[in-house]
Amino acid sequence: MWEPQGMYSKFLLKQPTILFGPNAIMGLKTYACSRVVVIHGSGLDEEYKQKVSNATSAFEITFIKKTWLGEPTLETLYATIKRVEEFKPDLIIAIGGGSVIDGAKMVRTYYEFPFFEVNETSFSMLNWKTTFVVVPTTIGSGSEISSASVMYNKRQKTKEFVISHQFIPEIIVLEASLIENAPKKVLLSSMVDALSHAIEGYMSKIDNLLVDSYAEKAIQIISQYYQVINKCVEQEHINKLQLASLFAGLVQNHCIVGATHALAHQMSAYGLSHASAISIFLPAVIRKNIKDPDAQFRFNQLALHSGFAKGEDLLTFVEEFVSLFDLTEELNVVKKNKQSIISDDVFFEQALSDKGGQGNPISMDKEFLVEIFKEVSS
Amino acid sequence: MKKITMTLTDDLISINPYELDAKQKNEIFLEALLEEIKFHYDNNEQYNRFCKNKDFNPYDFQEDLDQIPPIAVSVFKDLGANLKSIPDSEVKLSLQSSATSGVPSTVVLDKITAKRQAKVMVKVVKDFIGAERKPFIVVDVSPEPQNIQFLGARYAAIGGYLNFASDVNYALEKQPDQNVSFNVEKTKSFIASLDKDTPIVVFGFTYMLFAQVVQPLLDKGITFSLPKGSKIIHIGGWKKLESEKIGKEQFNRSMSQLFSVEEAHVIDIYGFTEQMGLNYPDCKCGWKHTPMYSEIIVRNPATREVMPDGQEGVLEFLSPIPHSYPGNVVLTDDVGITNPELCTHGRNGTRFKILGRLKKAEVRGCGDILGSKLKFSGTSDESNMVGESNLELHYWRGKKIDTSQSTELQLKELISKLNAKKEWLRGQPIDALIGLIGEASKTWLAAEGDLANMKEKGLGFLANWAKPIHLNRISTIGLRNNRQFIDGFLPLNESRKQFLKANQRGLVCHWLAGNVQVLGMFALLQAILTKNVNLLKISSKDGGVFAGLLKSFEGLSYTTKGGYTITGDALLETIAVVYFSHKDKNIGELMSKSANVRIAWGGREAVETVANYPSMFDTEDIIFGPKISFSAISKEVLTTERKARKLARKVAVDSSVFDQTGCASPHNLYIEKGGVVSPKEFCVFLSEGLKKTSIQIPKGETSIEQISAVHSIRGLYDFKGEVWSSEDTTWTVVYSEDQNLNPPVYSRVIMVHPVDHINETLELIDDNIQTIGLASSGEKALNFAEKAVEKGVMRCPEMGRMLNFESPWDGIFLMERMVRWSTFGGPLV
Repeated sequence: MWEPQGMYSKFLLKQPTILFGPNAIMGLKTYACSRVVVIHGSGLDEEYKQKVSNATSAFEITFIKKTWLGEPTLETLYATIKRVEEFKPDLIIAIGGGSVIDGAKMVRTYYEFPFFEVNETSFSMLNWKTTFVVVPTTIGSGSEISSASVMYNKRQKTKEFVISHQFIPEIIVLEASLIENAPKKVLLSSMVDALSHAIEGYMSKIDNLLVDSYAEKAIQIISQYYQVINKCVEQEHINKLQLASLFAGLVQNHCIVGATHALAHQMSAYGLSHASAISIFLPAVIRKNIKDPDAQFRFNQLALHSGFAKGEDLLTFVEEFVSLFDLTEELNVVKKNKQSIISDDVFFEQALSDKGGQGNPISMDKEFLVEIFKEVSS
Repeated sequence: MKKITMTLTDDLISINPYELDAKQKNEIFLEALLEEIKFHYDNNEQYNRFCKNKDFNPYDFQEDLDQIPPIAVSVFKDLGANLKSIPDSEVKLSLQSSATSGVPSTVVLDKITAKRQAKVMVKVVKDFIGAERKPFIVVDVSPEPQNIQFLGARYAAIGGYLNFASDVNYALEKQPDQNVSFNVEKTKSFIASLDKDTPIVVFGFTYMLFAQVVQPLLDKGITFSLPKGSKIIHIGGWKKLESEKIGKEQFNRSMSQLFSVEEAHVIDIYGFTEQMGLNYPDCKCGWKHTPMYSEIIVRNPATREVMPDGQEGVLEFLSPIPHSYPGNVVLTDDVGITNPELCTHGRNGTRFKILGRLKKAEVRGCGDILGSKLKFSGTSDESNMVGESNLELHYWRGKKIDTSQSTELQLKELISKLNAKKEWLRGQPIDALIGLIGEASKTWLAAEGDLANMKEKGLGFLANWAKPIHLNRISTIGLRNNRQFIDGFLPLNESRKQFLKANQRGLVCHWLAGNVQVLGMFALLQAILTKNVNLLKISSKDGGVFAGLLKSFEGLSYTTKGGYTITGDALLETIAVVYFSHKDKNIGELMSKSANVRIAWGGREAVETVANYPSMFDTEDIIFGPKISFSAISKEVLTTERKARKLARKVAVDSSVFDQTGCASPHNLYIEKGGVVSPKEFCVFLSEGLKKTSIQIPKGETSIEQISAVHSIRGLYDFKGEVWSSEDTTWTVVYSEDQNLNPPVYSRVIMVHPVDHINETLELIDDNIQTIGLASSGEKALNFAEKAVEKGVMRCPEMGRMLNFESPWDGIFLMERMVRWSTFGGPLV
């Protein structure tokens, strides 16, 4: 269903309209629509709802609070789908973090293609009848620009990726006002996620010169502005970080990330947040990968192009960035489960087959991943 | 050589017609016949090719008569005057059949043949009406020069019979308006002027006699009193009378009544153009006899095997008489039987009876293209549009209809019940409808039970076509790129000021053709997706197929992910399938006048009927008129044997789906010369492809008439070119150098023609051509397609997919035509 770079080495770059800056949401005013559904998370306040209502020219607008908790499952989506079907929107706005956005992607899919089957690989989605608008309230996940919707498979206790380029929304609204009050730790760890997308995407086996520049720009912005998170944050700076996150997400989406994500995804079963798990594995994966001369060359190149003198400096920056927040609790979980995980073949098999980790520049095997795991858990 | 042949036949025709018994006749007859056949074998290139194709050599022929390959009458229709064994300088006359049904046969006569014909005719007829000349009443116009054109083929026949006439009265007179009338007074005076004891002969053509004499005169109470012993002889056959359901007995009785002649003296004489001169009058024993100069064989129309005495079959006549053309062994379309018993009136010769005529293979497909496309041409035969028929409810799951009321009231009630369901259907989300149809498509794909025999009728394709993902695409394309327009108002062309909505039109009435039932299903499904209620009038040949397809919806249900449920049973209440005779004008008109959309598919009958019915002024008419299609292959795609084989397989699929009855089915295939694989070599691959495809797509039932048509075309191409075929009549590939667009034969008969450039086929295109299956490449393909569509072609699909119903079809986005578009807000200017 999905080919990251398409056949014939073509550069695919599906570029949604990006509305950003102060009152970016008002940019929706210019889009024709008839009925609007807003799917949102728990944190959306009435003031912003009013703002959204004012921003559309629709006859009707309805706000639906997501009916799923954490990562969506098929079952928990249904109640939202029912309301969407009844309302018959032609424009769907998702306002929230990765889980809201991923869930909304699936809600839209099931609304438009009620006969869609996750496992039907030949299914090709064409001709959305709705316009999909994403307003992310977090930074870093890249879900706003992602072709994947991450669902949680309750039975198998794994994350499942439903992938289609058609999932990329038509419009992305980067509203700094929705981010500024987020806890600093959340923001920081999210930026690690973005950083990992840029680095792993750049280092990926899939080489895409066009997307490289997005990775370089993302790292450049993050390294320039990450410290503002700790200080008094200006909306302007948040907006920059939002763009960096978007660029990094775009890199991830086109080039596929590597071992960091392959391992981090497995840790959700142990209660670790995605960003924390990324923070734990990213430096170790970089160190392991750049033992290979070709990978090292790429990493050095990325460092140079994004404003560092050499690869080591970029690695140092990553390590410093990660050390900014406290991962003691998370590391304890890793250490506590070290032995059981190392002896658990399924954990590594799933990591090796994880679609989100297939881009690692060095071919992965169990031994490769075990070594990384041992390093972080020691 | 020529002299010897002449002598043998001359010897034969010097013998009295019914003198020798079978044993005595056989040897001299076979010798004379073979000598004549050898003459054609040596002097007629086309006949020589035919014999070689049939592995027949008259010079080492040692078998029975039935082993000589017969020539089908269709060959004389197609090759006609070209099929001669003599130089042009010897041609004296060209004879053409009256062609009461279809294309006339043509044969050329030289002096020898003409003489023989005249001689045997006299000998036979003399045996029935006596040698002495008699007064004749010829029930026709006089053969004056100004009437020759009007008389046509009858002219020669009248001339022949005048050999027996002492005095002649031409009973018919041509009126200034070109009609003819029987001059009663003149005929009565003629009779009065004659000796009362001299029997008279009334002569005429069967159909003319019936139309101009029996019916009008008896109606007026006019009769003639002819002298005792008078006879009525009539020729020309029953083809026209059969359609009026007039039997021979009724005809004879009427004739005998009119002229006061014994019924036994009304003599029907059988004969046919291809063996002109040989006449077969009714003997008093009730049978006809073959004279010395001919023999008869009855063959099974399907297998061509010889039938035993007393069993019906098609008649083959053998005679050494034709010398200028190879008409010595002719297989006719006439059906008859032989009788081995001896004649009670002392005549020798095989006794036989004509029982009728093999019906012309019914045109089941869209190939029966219309002469006129004028919608309200007023050409319908009003006299046929009478009578009341029953309303047969073939499928209806709604509330019971009161069948005790009149047909008209029943239909009114049905329509009103359907219309009452419009609101319910309007409320169904299009995606739920798509999902429900998707569920039915699973049943169709499984093709179990009653649906199993639908496999070869396109069920598999319908099942795939009706998958939700495809319906989603069709409805998106069909509804201006957003299927949700049918669910509510949406911005028109990205406007924030103006909104567009598609609305159901209401009642869609379908007139279905019997050839390709699934086509009707495509229209029905699209009518459902546009939320219209449907009334379908099926063809008399439907055979329960349509109802069978609809039954798949029974008990089905579909629930969207959001929990909205739609059931098949509820949907079925919006659909009714009926049948009534197309002759019932009132009920047909009622259906037509109630329709918001009228859809007529394919067949001439459906299209003409619908076109002639009145309708509301804003009724949308969607007429998929009869069309034909062909295929073209350019040399660039024939660069390797492998490619050619692959392509041949695809052509085979196109030619096998629906057994070629679809309007998009190819019948003719034009192949460019100059490729690595020649057109003739391609025929071999194509025949292999057809063989394989016949397993994959089993052939449906084939009628005797259709089998006969296949035999005819094979027989013709044994003369014209080459034939590759299955042992039975499953498939046939014929090849000839001509570039005609031949009329369809159906039944997997593909006619291959070589061309120098595919563009030559552009000349064959008019707006009766629907589809051209095109295998070409690059600019050449594009140029061809552009020119073809400009000339009227609707589609140039890939080979192997010609029959895949697509949107647009026949130039129409069907769904767009089944909705009303309304706006809200705006306008922008």
